[in-house]
Amino acid sequence: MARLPQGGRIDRSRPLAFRFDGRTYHGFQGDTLASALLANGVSVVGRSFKHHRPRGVLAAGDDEPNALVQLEPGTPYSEPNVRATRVELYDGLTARSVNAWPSARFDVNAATGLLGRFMPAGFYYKTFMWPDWRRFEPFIRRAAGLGVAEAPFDPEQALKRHAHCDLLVVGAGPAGLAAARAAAAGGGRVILAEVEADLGGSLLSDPHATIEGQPARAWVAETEALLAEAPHVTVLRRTTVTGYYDHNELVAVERLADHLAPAARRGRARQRIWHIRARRVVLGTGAHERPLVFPDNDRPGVLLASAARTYLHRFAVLPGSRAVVATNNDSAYEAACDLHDAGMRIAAIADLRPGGPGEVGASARERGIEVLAGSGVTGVRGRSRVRGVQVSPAGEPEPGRWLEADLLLMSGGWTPAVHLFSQSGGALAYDPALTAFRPDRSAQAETSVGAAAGRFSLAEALADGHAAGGGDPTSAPQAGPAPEPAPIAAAWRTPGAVGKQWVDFQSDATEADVALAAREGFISVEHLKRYTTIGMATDQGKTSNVNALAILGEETGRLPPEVGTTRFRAPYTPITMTTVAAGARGDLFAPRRKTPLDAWHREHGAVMEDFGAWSRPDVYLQPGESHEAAARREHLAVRQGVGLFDSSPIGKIAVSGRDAARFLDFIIANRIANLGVGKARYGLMLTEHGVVFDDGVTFRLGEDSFLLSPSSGAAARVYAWLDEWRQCEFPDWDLRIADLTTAWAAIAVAGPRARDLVRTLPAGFSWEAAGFPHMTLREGAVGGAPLRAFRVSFSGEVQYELQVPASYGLSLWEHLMRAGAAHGVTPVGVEAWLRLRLEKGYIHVGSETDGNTLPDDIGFGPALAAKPGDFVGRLSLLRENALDPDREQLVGLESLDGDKLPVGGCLFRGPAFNPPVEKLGRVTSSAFSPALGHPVALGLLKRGRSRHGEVLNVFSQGWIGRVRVTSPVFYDQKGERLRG
Amino acid sequence: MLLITCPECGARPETEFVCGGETHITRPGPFAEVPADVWAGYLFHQANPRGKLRERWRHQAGCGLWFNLVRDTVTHEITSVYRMGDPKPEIA
Amino acid sequence: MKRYSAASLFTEGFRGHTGWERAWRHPDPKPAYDVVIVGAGGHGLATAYYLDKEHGITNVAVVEKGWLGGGNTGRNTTVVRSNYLYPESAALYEKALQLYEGLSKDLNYNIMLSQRGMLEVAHSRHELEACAYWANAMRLNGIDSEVLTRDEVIALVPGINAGPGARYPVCGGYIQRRGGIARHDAVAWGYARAADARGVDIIQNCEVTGFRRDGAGTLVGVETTRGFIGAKKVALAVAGHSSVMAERAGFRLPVKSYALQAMVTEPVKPMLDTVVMSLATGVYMSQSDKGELVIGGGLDLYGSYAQRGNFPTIEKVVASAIELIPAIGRLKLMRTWAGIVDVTHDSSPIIDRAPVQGVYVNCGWGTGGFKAIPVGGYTLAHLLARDEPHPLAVPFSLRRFESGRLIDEAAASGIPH
Repeated sequence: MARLPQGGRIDRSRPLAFRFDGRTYHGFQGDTLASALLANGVSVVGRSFKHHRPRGVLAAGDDEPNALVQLEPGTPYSEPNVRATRVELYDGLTARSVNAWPSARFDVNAATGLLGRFMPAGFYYKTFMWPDWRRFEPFIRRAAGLGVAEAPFDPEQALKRHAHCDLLVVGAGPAGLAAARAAAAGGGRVILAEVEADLGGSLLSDPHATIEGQPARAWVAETEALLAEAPHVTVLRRTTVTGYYDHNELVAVERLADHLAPAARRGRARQRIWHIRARRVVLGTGAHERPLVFPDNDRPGVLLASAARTYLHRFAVLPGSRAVVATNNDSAYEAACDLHDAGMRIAAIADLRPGGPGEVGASARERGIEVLAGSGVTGVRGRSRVRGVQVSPAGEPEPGRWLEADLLLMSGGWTPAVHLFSQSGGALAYDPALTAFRPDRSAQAETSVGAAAGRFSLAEALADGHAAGGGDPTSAPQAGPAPEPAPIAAAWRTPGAVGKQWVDFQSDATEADVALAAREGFISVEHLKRYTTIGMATDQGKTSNVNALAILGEETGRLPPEVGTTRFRAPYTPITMTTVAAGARGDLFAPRRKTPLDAWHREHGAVMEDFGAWSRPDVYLQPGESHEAAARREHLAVRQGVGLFDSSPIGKIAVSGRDAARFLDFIIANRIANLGVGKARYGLMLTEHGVVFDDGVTFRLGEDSFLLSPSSGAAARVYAWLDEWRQCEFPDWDLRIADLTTAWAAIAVAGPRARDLVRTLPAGFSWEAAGFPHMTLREGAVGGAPLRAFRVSFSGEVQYELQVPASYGLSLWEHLMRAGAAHGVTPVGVEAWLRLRLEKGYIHVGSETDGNTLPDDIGFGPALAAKPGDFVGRLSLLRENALDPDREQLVGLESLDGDKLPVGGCLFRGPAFNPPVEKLGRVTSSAFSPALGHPVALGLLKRGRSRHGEVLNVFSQGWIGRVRVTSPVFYDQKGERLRG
Repeated sequence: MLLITCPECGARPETEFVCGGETHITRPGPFAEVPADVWAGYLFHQANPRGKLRERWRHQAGCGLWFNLVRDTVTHEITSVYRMGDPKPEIA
Repeated sequence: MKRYSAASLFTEGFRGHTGWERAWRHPDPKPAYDVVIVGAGGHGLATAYYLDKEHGITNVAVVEKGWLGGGNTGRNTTVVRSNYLYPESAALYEKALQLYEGLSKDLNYNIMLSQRGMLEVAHSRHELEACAYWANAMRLNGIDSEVLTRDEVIALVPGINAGPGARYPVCGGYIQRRGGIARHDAVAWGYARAADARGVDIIQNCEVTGFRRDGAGTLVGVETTRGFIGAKKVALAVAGHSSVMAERAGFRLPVKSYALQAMVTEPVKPMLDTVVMSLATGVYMSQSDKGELVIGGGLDLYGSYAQRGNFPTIEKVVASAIELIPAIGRLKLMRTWAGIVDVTHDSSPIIDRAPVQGVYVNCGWGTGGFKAIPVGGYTLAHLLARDEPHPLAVPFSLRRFESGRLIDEAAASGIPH
């Protein structure tokens, strides 16, 4: 019977049913999936990655390499590759083994195992080259992978929380608890993070330990109560600290609802990701027990000794009835004795040390357990379950004896869990007394304690933790007496034995693979890892790394410290992607900016599209209308009547101060210093590389006061750009710069009847052309709100841009719609607006310019050359590149075939299209011109200004058309309409 | 994630800042007299050290202040924070 | 060099794989070489290989501070493609792709070139127009590319977020079908093995600490942690370390070093059969043959030589990836890391003589060095052998930073590249 009638920390009053590989089993509240499977005698829980060998549970925690399952398959909650040792059982849980079909017990792919001899480490580098890899790849891909990503999206949410503390303690084992307790007594802000639901760590699996003269469990309970009462202490259970980043920031994942059935999780966040900034960190992350490397050490029924002890004491599970224990150190004796006391037969303890155990040996012998000093395991019988174990004298050629057993417990020593320490940048040192790497020099404000520091005794753990938590050394909690240990024996594999000896279970790599890598020259530990894939699986080699590098050392005549170790990478255990992103999904991932008129647009048929960060009306659809028809209707309305355009996103950067004029004269490539008050001028802004990065109109509101109107997409960048120059280069100048972009709503009123409409606004100034000519501005008030009116024109018609504080935007818009009804006023979207400017040959930054466009390319060469003085980017305009006559220049393009030219079409010359073909230019904007009755386009063309009239070809996705090069201005070339 | 001490706002997370690159770079001039290689040096040839670097940062999602700091590009340790116009600290 | 083949694997299978030779030697440095290449990454090893193969120069050492292939060659996201806009870049990267296409057989090492297509997804009309321009320009350059409709994109990437609520709607895209992935380690190992077989000494754990010149200022060799090594010419192929080596050699390079983050999920059964990139967020993904989703797209925005992941960047990249393919939301992130990339202002490389005598540089590939390994080696070998740049490398000179003749692909499109 696997489940004992009493003991353990399970709740026998709450039985639970669950399914694994199609069969129903029973467990109890408090079980993990792994403990419940063992309790039900399920030995095969998965198949190995490459050879499809049956595999069983090996470990009891994060280090488990074999027991990976697909949790809740076939449901929206389906999750691949979950370690069964970390799944808390709930009623109705369903799981399936991965990498096996139809089940782990009967896997049709097991036949691959027969080909194993032809698939050593890295075999794929040596073959599959003929005819080519793509022929073989689909088969390899199908064979690889573990579980499946079958849920189309994650139905669950994750939360995110930032926290600060004086001390973060990772791990609530004896060392971590002692640290948290001491720090809590000191009054600091403490966060204690524990991967399990219960505090105690290794103490939960050790009923004999005593602290301060009482059972350790009582000390744990007392500490737990103290921490619960302490005012500044946060205890996070079911929380894995997964990453240690710069400046003492750590990331932790708290599993809020994973232990509940999916139905019970609804409405709750599944996990919470913590970003914890700690003044100091105590790493009490414990240690992982290493497997021994001997033939068939991967058979189901071979467990880590400490795992068996955990299954016994926490889950009341005896994972077998007759065990052989194999070890090279003292710790396995505790497991052997406890299991014996719980009713298991211990056939023998094979201890690789010729001198045998330390004082613990006596307790084994007292129980009549045979201790075979100087012996090791040389063979395992049984395929889907251990049936017998061969034990031989170490190093002797003669085969040893077979012992009947259904369980083989092994302990190859302990490896401090230095993952977080290593991530923090700390340096490791190899400690021969531990046969493992342990923390050496810290790089951040961090202390490793207890087993994580390679100090494995309870007394050391308590002392370390207490000191790291700031406790007075004289008051450290005292552990009860412990037997005097004997040193561990370095034992990395079993030479001379027949059969495959597994080093990395999940990567399915053997000792022979390590030897092959060494033979082939992959003697750097990183080469070994990559060539054999040891340490590259989801467990990141928690059980395999040290054995692998030590075997590599043996193969190459080096000691482990000379071989070195690989750097550990975050996360410590894999983190659900949804949890990493936390709330950053959909609109919260990238919020859209909305204008003050957003709701009006949506209520009036607007098709909203994203333009940069802004959500804007593209067209306003009338019933039954197509996108193109709407754009043409809006376009015509501006040409013939009057249109309203929500230009609120346009930049509004106020620059003022005694030095404002000379500052802008430097920042803007065109002349600004001589601009009259009340007047406006168009200009370009360049980078220091001379590249056009934005264009816009600058208004002079007063002698020392300017308003810039950068394009919508660039407003934030322009503000940052100006402010950087001000703060960093001209700190002594009298300058103030403010980004008012979202403080004001902006409405453009454009068309031959625009003036009829704005006349309805009693703003306190004249709207007539004589008093308010093109490229000037007026300030007034309307309806109790300040009003700024600008006569600029992007449309080519008479145009007034009206700006009022954002909260007045809607009432102004609605007034204009009402007042304009008589004039047929039409709301105009971005599409028509861009077509209007296209007809006028005005550039749109981002369409007619890219990150390489210089001012002369778009016709501003002469204007800038005439400017006196320096400006940003000026020197770059004198470079060879800028003076190249072959540069692309802005042109108009007319289709000779009557078709609308495709944007992105490439211009070339010549009768036929035989690549490679010289690209002369491209179509940058294109639309039907209702005013002209045919399509028009703008483009950039090499030497374009000298090519007007020339006929060229245009290529787009296999289509070839003919175009004539023209002036870019198609409409009202003299500009009479916009001045009207 | 770095913790950067803004001279106005105190210690704040990296995500509130933007890095403006190496600081104390003098823009060459007057423009009529700048040789091409000097201009290219200004545009492109920054120090890019493996080790301590003086650079400027802006507290973008905070007060907007541009300031200087000394950061080690390997360890990311920040050893000095100072304002624009403050004297340039020596770095080892 | 013992040939690798299915037959040799079969034979060895019956004798416990005891007959495999070392893939490369671990020699001590000789007193002097004709050429010393600093950096045993893909570019350096390929340079050594082509020095012999194309120019008959075998007295060559490749010296490496750590272990071969351990820099960016072993840290990248393994994408290969030649979807470039400018003819100069297109010619360079297309040559690289063509060399890749024959590389497994050329090196007798399976680099697992998987030309599964490089798809760029457009999420707006503007991006689709940019895609069209890009694809058309590629066709003019003679390189395969197709603009795809929304439905074609969805068919290629079944899990893509094309629903009505998508933050980034799918409008279409373009694909270079010859683009794809290759096994990064295999590229380094394949070149190393082939170069070693041609007599090249690959000297690992050997850091170059200085450059020695004679009284006349002529380069005579390099100082290393394993002693002085004489050399007539020294080539630097040390991505992520170029400025440091340049400083030791006495000049400055127009590069800045940044940490580029990459990450993989745990392995799952095949779910993504192409390399897919979102133009809106810059995130890109492919599924390795082992089943992991390899995800990249984030550069830390400050200079860095720290080869480690930074969480804010990881968060952004992961969130972007979930927006693109929501089905990965329930997968787990398994490993994150960073490589140091040397970035020029135009994100194009430098393959040129250094401003100091005897030194040659191959650097500045930014985030795109892996896909260029064969051509980086091929053109650097030409430069070393002939002392004049290969025609493909002429535009990628140091002089362009004075002339302003930059080759800026990203700037040309507004597309992250």
